Amino acid sequence: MAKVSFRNVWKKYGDMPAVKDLNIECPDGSFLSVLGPSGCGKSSTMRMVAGLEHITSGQILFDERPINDLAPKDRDVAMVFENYALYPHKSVYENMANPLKLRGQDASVIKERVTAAAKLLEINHLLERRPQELSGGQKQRVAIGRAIVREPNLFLFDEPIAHLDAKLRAHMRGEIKHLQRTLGTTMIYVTHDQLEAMSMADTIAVMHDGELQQLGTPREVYNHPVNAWVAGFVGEPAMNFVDVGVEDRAGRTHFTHQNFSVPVTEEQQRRVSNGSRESALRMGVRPDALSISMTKPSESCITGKIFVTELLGGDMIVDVDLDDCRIRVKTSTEFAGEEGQTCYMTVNTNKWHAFSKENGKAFF
Amino acid sequence: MTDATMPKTSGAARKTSGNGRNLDLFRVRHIPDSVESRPVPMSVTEPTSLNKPVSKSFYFWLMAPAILVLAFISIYPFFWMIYMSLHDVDIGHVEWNNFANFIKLPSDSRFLMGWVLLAEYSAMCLTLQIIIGVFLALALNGTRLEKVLVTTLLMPMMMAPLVAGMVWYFLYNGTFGWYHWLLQSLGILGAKSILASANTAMIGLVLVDVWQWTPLITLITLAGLKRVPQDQLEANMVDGASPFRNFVSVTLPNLYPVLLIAIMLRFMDNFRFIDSILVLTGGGPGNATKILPVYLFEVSFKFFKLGRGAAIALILLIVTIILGKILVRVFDRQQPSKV
Repeated sequence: MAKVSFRNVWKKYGDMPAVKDLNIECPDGSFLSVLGPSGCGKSSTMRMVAGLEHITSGQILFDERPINDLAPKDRDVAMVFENYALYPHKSVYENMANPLKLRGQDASVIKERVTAAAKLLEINHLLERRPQELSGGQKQRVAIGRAIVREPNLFLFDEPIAHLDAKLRAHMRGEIKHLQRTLGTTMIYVTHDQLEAMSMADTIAVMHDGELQQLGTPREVYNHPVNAWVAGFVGEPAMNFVDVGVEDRAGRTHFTHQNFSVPVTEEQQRRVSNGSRESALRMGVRPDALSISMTKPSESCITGKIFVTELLGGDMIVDVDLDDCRIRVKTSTEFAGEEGQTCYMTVNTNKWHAFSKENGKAFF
Repeated sequence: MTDATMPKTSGAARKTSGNGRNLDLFRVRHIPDSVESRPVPMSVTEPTSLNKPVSKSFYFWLMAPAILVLAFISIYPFFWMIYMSLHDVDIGHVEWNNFANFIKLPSDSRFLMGWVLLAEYSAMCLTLQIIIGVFLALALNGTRLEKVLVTTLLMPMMMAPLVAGMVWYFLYNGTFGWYHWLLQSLGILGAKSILASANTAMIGLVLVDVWQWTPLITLITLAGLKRVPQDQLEANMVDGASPFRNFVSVTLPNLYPVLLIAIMLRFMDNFRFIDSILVLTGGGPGNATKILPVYLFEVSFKFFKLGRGAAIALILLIVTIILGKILVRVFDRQQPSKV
């Protein structure tokens, strides 16, 4: 087990930077999820930790010990690959025994460890089979089993459940999280699925275009995104963005739009006026921070026309047309609006966000 | 084989009868009138084939010329060989001889020696070619000059074996051969030329074969290396394997199938191609390089014992087929299917 630190880490392919000046501290025993869309540099980051990719500049340290120049085999990490990377010519048992065998463990120790890991993952009846005789979920368990037979410094999981079907994925999310808690080993988990990152990680590192956007707990990242990009990437359904004007009315800042004019709270007013002199900014509201009704609740509500309603079992998503954009609202299934009708939405002003139109930085 | 199920041309008109009548069943929400409801094809007529159906026998007649030619150049000689192997064959004289051709073979020392020499020759060629070929492929794989170097390497393979034999004949020549001069200057070679000495003639022949055919192994191995899964190599590295260990436990198993194909091709060629040997030594000195196919050639076309030659050829053919079958079986067992 080890603490992992990234200090000014850069990765360049030719002149193309894939990872730019990355700084992360990942405490011993914690679960760090690196989240971002494809091409954001998250896999490069993980491969640099594993030693499969050269670190262009900067340092990666395990317990304050630089590992830049160590070969993969000397870093003592265990990795689970996106495509499982099982050895097709070896049985499940041999696959799982491989890391131990390569480290010269006794056959009896190997047998004990592999059996224990197989039991933990409930694949002990599959040990004699070959990888091609397994289902996707079973292969994935074997790949995890191969990682946990040792007690490595660090687990590296590279989108390990991306290829499973939705139901199994939901199941495995819980299992992997439980496994990490049980073993107490530091884990770096790369994913493009914000739901996986939110539900499993202690800390999320959101990456975009090779840059670390935000490092924080799932709550922080969800409730206080540092910029519009993070706000838009995290959360499903995604946050609504509306371009609004900023106007002073009777000493209170209002966000104005053709369809509405809503006052901000005092704290928010302070932040906006401190932050910029912009007369327009981008308002961000999550679908669940809006409440919708068919009757007008107050003067400071948003008026729109229902475009479509989507029933999602327990919830309902309503798409509402404003004059220049479309926003989505999460509501209960009792909502009785029909397409084309006028509706009214109230914003929970404790839960909304404002971003600069210039650089996307969050005011609040 | 000659099935008439060709992909039907899909130029036929789709029927666009029926408008959104059935669609209404699935319509749960109101679609504004501005959204155009497109007519949906309710049924698609089977496109009519442009080809009129023809009987199977028609196809047979189409193939008949090819079959006829094949019969003349391949099937007929094969049966004629079997026929000859059971007879005493001379010009204008064929006589049944109660399997004498076969019965005499076990006591023919040159026939037996031919097998030993063939095995020796083939084993040496294959071992050297595989080792050098694989090493070359590993060295070339992924380098910037890979394409250029592979093209250069392939040149010997493009050469007719007879021409290659001639080139090496000159290189080995005892009076003006460059290799001969080089080796003699270095004191490795005695007074005799390479091909004239019973000790070195076989090695000389093996070198020619290695020179000419190692590129093939390199080419095949390179193709094999391209399909070694990168993630397995990486997984093994993270698991704690050294580069050598990684090669043995991941690369090699993935190379097995292509290497077996290469081995099969080359061993069959060793059994068949004797052009360069005929040019270089003709089986000599003495009988030092008289591998079985050379002996077969000699019996048939120098001594004109066509019956005996046919018997030897038949046995050689059977052995080749059996060895080939064994290799294919091994290949099937080793073939790792994809994950």
